[in-house]
Amino acid sequence: MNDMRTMERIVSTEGNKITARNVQVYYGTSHAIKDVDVDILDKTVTAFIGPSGCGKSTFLRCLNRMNDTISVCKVTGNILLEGENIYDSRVDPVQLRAKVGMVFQKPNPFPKSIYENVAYGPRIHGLTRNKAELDAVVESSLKKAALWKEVKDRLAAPGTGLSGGQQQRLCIARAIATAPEVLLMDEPCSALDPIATAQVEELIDDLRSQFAVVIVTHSMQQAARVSQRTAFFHLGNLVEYGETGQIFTNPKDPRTESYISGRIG
Amino acid sequence: MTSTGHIASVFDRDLESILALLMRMGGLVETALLDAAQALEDRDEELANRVRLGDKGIDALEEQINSECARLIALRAPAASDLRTVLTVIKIASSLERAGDYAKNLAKRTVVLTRLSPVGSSSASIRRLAKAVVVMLKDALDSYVHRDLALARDVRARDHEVDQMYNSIFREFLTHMLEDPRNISACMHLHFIAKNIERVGDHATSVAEQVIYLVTGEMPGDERPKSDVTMIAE
Amino acid sequence: MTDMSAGSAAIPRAKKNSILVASDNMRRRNAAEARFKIYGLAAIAVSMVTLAFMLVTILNDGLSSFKQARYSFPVSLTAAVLDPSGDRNRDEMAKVTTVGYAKVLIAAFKAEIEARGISTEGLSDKDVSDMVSKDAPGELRATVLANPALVGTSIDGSILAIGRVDGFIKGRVTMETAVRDGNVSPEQLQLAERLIEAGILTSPFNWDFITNSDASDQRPEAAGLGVALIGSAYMMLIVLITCVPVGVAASIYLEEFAPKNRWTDLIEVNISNLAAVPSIVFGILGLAVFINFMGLPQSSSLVGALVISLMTLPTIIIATRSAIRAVPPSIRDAALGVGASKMQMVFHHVLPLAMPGILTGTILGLATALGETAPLLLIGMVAFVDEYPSASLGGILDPATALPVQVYGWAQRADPAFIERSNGAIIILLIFLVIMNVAAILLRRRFERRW
Repeated sequence: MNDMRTMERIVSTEGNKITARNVQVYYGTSHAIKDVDVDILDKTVTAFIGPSGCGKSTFLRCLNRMNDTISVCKVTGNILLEGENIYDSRVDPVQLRAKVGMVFQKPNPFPKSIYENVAYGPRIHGLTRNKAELDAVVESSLKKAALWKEVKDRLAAPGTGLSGGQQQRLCIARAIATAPEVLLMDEPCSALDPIATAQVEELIDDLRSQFAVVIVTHSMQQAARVSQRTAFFHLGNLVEYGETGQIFTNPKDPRTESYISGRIG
Repeated sequence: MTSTGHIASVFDRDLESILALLMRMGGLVETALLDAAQALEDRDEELANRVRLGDKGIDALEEQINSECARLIALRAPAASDLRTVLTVIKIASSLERAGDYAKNLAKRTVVLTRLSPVGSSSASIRRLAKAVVVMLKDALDSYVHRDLALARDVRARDHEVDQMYNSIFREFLTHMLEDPRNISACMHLHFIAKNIERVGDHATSVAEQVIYLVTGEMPGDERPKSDVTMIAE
Repeated sequence: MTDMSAGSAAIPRAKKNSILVASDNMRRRNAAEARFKIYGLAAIAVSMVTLAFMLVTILNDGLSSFKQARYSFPVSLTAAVLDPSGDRNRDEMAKVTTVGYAKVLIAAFKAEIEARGISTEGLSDKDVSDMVSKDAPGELRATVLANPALVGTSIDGSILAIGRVDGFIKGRVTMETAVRDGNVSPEQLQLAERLIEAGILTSPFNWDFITNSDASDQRPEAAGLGVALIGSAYMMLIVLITCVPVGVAASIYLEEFAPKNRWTDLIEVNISNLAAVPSIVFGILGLAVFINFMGLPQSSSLVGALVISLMTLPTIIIATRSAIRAVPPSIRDAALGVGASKMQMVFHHVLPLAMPGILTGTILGLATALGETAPLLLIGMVAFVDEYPSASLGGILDPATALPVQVYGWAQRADPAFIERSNGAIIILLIFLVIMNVAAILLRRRFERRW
C-alpha cells in the first residue's frame, strides 16, 4: 500500500470535537429530529447525507444554535463542544458562533467591500488589537480560502461583484476569519457550477487540516469525494454513521444501501 | 499521465497509488519468473521454494488492488480516460496474478525435476524462452506506464516469436522423448513448464492490449498473430 | 407503458395548421391585447390632458403674482421731517411714524410728475396721492431706519402702487370696471397710462411676494407668503425631528424584536388603520388634546407640527417596515452566522440596506405633510397673521400659518388680486412638492445597491 495514502486515510483520532447524544428537535408539534447520536471528529470532514426533508440541515443548525432564531423550534438532548454543553443557559449564542462558523447554501457576502466582509467578524468579537493585526487576519483568511491572489489588488471592491465561486470562497474566508474550531457548511456548492464546485471541494480538503468540518450535501457523490466520515439521515433518524469508504462500498444498514444505490429518496 | 492534474488533488493521489501498487506487483512477477527460470537451470531447490512462497504476496497485492479500485470507483466516479485507467488496472492485475501462478507452478515442477536427471540442453532453451517472455512483460508494463502505443503494438507482435520458440522447444522435447523413453517423465514436466511460460507471454500480450484500450478507447480488433501450430496434427 | 396504437385517444391534438397562418384563437387573443393596449393609452392620454389643463390654468392665473406694479422716482429724504433731532439716532428717528414718511413720499411723487411734465388734469391732489399704496410709507420707513445715513440724501425709490393700478396693468381692472369701482376712477387709470409711458410705472419681479407677511384687504399688493413659508418650514422641521426617529425605531422594534403574538398583531392593525383616518379627525384631536388639554398656543407651528406628525407617523412606519422586510434573510443569516448579536445585525446590516426605502418613505411622507390643510384649519392656523414668528426656539409657539392654509385664506377674499396671489402660492407649493419628489427619486437611485 502506498504509505502516504495510508497516512491520509487515517482520520486523526485527536478526539471528538462535538459529541451529540440523544438529540431531539421539535418544530412546534412535529418531531423533526429523533434520537440522534453522532460524533464530529477534529481535523476531519464529516458529511451528512440523506433525502430531502430528512433533517440534516436542521441538525446542522443545532450545532451553532442558529435554530434559536426560529421561535417554534425546540431542541433537547446534549450537544457538547469540547466537553461543554452548548445549550447550557450560561452560553451566549453570539460567542458560540465565533467558535462554530457557518457557510450557507447561497453565497451571501455582505454588500460591503471584500476587506470589510472578512474583517467584520474579528472586529465585532474584538479579536484584534489594531489595524495591522486586522489586515494580517484578513490576508491570512483570504489566503486559506484560496482567494488572496485573485483579490489582493481590489480589497475595496464590493464583495457582491465577484463570481459565484469566488463569492462562496469569500464567505468561507469570512467564516474562518474568526478562527473557529468547527466549520459548518450547509450545501455550500449547490449554487455553483462544476468547476467552482471542484475548487471549493479542494479548498475543503485543505481546510480539514485546521478545523473540523461538517458538510451537509444532497449529492452523495460530493460526500464521497470530500469526507472521511459520513452520516446518513432518513426521516429524522440517523441511520448509519461510519468511515466514508466503507459506507460507499459496503454499508451496514439496508436503508443506506438503498439510498446510495439510488433506490430510495 | 494526463497533462493537468484533477482540481481535487486527492483524486490524483488515489490514481497514483493504484498505479504504484500495479508496478510493484509487476516487479514481483518479473522477479518470480526470472528466479524460477534460474532455479530450473541451476537445479536450485531452495530458490524454487522461495518463488513458491512468494506467490502469496502477489495474490495479496491483487486483492488489495481490487479493493482499492472498487473504492476509487465508488468514491470518485471516474470518467473517460480515468475510468479506463481503473478498469485496465483491474484487468492487468488479474493477468499478473495468473502470470504469478504460472511462475509458482514453474517453481513446483522445478523441485520435482531436481530429483530427475537433466535432459540435454533443454534448460537453456527454456531459459531463453523465459527471458524473452519476461522482457515482453516488462515492456508491456513500461508501455502502460508511459502510455506508449508503439511499444504496446510491438509487444503484441512479439508473441508470434514466443510462439515459434515454444514450437521449436516442443519439437525438441518430442525428439528427446523418442530418443530415450526414460526422458519422458522429465520431458513432460519440462513441456508443461514451457507451455506455462508461453501462456505468460499471452498474458503479457493481454497487458499490451489493455494499453491499446487505455490509449485509444477501443480494444484492438485484429486477431493476435498466433503461430502456435502444435494444435495441428502433423 | 402506454398503448400507442389506442385509437380513442382522450388527449386532444392540435390541428395540423400552417404556422404561417394565424388561427382563430390567435386572432381573438391579438385583438383583445390590442384593445387592452388602446384602453391603457387612452387612460394615460386622459390623465396627461387633465394634468396639462390644470397646470396651464394655474400658471396662467398665478404667474402674474410674481410681478408687482411699482413707481420708480427719486425720493429726497428731507432731514427736517424725518430726523428732527438731527443726530441720525435710530431710536429718535423711530418716533417719526409713517405719516411723516407719507408726506415725504407724496411730495416726491408729485415733484416727479411735474418735473416730467405729465398732466394731472381731472385729478385732485388726493387722487394722485391715493395712487401710492398705503403700505409704501411703511416700506420707506423700514429702509431709512435700517440705514439712517440715508437721511438728507435722495434715493431712487421703488414705490409700491395701489392694488388697482397693478390690476390695471395685469388687465383685471379696465376703464369700464373703474367707473363702478369705489377704489379707483377712470381718470386715475389714465394717469397711470401716462406714467407707464413715461417709464415711471413698471412691473418688476416681486420678491416681496415671497418675503412679506400677509396684508389686510385694502392692500393686496403688499401681501406675501413670508409667514406661511416660515410656518411651513418650522412645521416640517419639527415633523422631521419627531417622526423619523420615532417611526424608524418603532418599525425596527416591530419587525425585528417584537414577539409574534396577538398584541403585535393588534398594534400592526392599528397602525395601518391610523394611516387611513381622515385628516380632519386629527385636527379635532389636536384641538382637544394639544390646545384645550395641554394649553399650547393656538395657531402655533408647534401644534400644527404635532398634529401633522401624528398623521405622518403611520406612513413612515409602514414605509420603513416594508424597506426592512425587503432586506433578504440571507444577509441576516450571514450576519448571525458570523456571530453578530441581533442589535449588530440590525444596525450594521439591515438598516444600511433599508436606507433607500426609508429615505424615500420619509421624503414622500413629508411632501404629503406639506400639503395638509384640513387639520391646520381646525387648530386655528387660518387666522390672519401678519407678524413673522421669531427666529428663536420660542418661535414655534408664535402664531403662524402654512402654505396650503394661506392658499385657502387668500382664495376666500373678494379682491381678485388675492385670487391671483392664491394661485401664485399654489405654484410655489407645487415647486416644493416637485423638488421633494425628485429628491426622493434621486436619493433612491443613488443609494440603491444591488445584491
